[in-house]
Amino acid sequence: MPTATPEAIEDLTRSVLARMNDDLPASDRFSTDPTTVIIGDGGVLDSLGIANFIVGMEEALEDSYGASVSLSDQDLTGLFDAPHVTVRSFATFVHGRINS
Amino acid sequence: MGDVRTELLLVSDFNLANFAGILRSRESLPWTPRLAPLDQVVSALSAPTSSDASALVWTRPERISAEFQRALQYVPADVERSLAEVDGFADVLLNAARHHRLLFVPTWQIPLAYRSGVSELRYGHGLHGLLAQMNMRLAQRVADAPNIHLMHTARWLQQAGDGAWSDRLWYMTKTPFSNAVFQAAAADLQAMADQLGGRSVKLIVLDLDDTLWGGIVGDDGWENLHLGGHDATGESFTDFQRTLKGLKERGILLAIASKNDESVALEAIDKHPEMVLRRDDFVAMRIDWNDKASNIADMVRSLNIGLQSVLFIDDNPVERSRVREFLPEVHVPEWPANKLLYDSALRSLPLFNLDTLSAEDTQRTKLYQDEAERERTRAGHTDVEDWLRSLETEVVVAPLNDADFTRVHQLFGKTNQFNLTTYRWTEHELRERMADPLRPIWSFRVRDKFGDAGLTGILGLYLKDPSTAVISDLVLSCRVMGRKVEETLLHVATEQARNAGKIVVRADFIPTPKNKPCLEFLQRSGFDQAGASFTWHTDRRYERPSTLALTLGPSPV
Repeated sequence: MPTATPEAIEDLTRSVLARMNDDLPASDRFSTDPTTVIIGDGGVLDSLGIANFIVGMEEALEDSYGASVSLSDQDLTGLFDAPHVTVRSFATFVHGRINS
Repeated sequence: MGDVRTELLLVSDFNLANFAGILRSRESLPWTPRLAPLDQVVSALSAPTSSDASALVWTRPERISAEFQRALQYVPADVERSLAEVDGFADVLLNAARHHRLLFVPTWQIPLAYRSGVSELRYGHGLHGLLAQMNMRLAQRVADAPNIHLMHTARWLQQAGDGAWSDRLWYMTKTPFSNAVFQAAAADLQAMADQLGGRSVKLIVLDLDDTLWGGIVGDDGWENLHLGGHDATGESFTDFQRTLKGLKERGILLAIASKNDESVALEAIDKHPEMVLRRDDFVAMRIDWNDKASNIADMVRSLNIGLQSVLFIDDNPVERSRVREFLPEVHVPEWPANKLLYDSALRSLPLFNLDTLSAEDTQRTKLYQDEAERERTRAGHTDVEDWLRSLETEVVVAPLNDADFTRVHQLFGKTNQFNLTTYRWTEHELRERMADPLRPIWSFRVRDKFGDAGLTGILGLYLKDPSTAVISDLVLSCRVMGRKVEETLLHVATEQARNAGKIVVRADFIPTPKNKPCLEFLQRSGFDQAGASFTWHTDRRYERPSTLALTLGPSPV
């Protein structure tokens, strides 16, 4: 298994978002830049998008790192101090969960 | 189905929002998806709709059958009661089919991983056995509704693999499937739209060496080719040829484009004892050292078939790439390097519409061969009228009847070039028209001294207006275009309109990317043009072309 560095988790996060984009009409696609707000105020994901993203992340972490990180059974908004979550802050959070 | 997008209502007892997004991302689909309220299947299907709206009805078996729900909880189910619940659902579908243009209904599935003991498939026992019975009952109940199309969910699950079912998405969003399943479903829906819209493959162009047989005939000699016998590769080529022969019997034309010495290749086709396909099975051949893409374009032009109706199969990736680049409309699938996979690769292509079989389908190769012979005689005549007269063409016109119904429906679905509106009448709509005296339809059969082209033309009139007969349908197969049958269609239209007491006959042309030949004919037909409308006053006769004979059956007017 590769090492789950912060950069690798960020890349993984962006690839999950890119796969979601593949399933959306062109007009609904969003940026996967590290600074893109994905959850919270001004976030690009609606509630269904957040669910798809969380499930996609759990599966990708299992496939890539054999890591069982449970995100889908938690209230995500309560896990972050900031009013919004960016691609990078989410990846940092996941990296912390894997290494905790 | 025309080229204008209509509504596709997504009706389900689970969340189809992800599926709706995937459908919206497919710009070539002829429908705009709209989500019905979640888990309100009966009321959504009963609500008033526009006349051209279609629906996709995707349900879970446990929501349709309380007995199946009990079976899921390991309670022995009453099979008859479960099937009665399926009947109730079928009644809802049959009722909805009356006011929807098309209904798509994915079959019921549960995860194969669910186990219910050694009797799980025994008739009358077990979860999977019960589900199979429910699906079969539904198929039986809707079999006579031509606008209800069951869809094969199991294929989508297989394509999506291990991640097809998603418990995570189910508990978070009430979506039981991953997007891989929805992508496969969308691809199948696209294939159905193409087939229902007349965009299925009509011609397969085949390479020879290492495509139709194993080996290089010019190097190895026909006696040493891998074909048939007790050899894995030889058997696989025989199976591949058998499948092609079966498609040919269903009306798909076969042709050859091969870089070879023609005499050497034809010797193999004629003499190899294990060849399933023989020379007569092909409508055209280009066996030479010229560019294949140019050869294909030339063949397709002479057969008068649209490039979008052509499939090219070649083992050589360079040739595939060349044809893709030069003829982007032609279907050029990737082809397996392993020859043992050829037959299944062909069978897996979602490009053929094999739903119905008409007499013309089984004779199609001969019809095109007759046409080639006809064209050859043209060279001997300097005057077109003289040539047309020499063909001894006879056109037989008859009101639409049960015997011709399948072919007429097919012709509406497949004809693109000479088609006034390109409206794809469903079987259901066509049956209704047969009973409507204000919307008569006539079929046109064409034959000449070279052969019988069969039912190749359709004329439809709308007679509601007291003074004007509207030509609602003007359809002619490309097989008989240019032989004055076009003028014969208008002759019959004007005569029937006059018989019905109409003063004016009007044809309103609806353009598509492909029906310019119809417009060009109308512009030179003698009808008066105003924009896209063409009119004729019935106080003048629109004469029958003198180059052909016309027999008119009894009129329904």
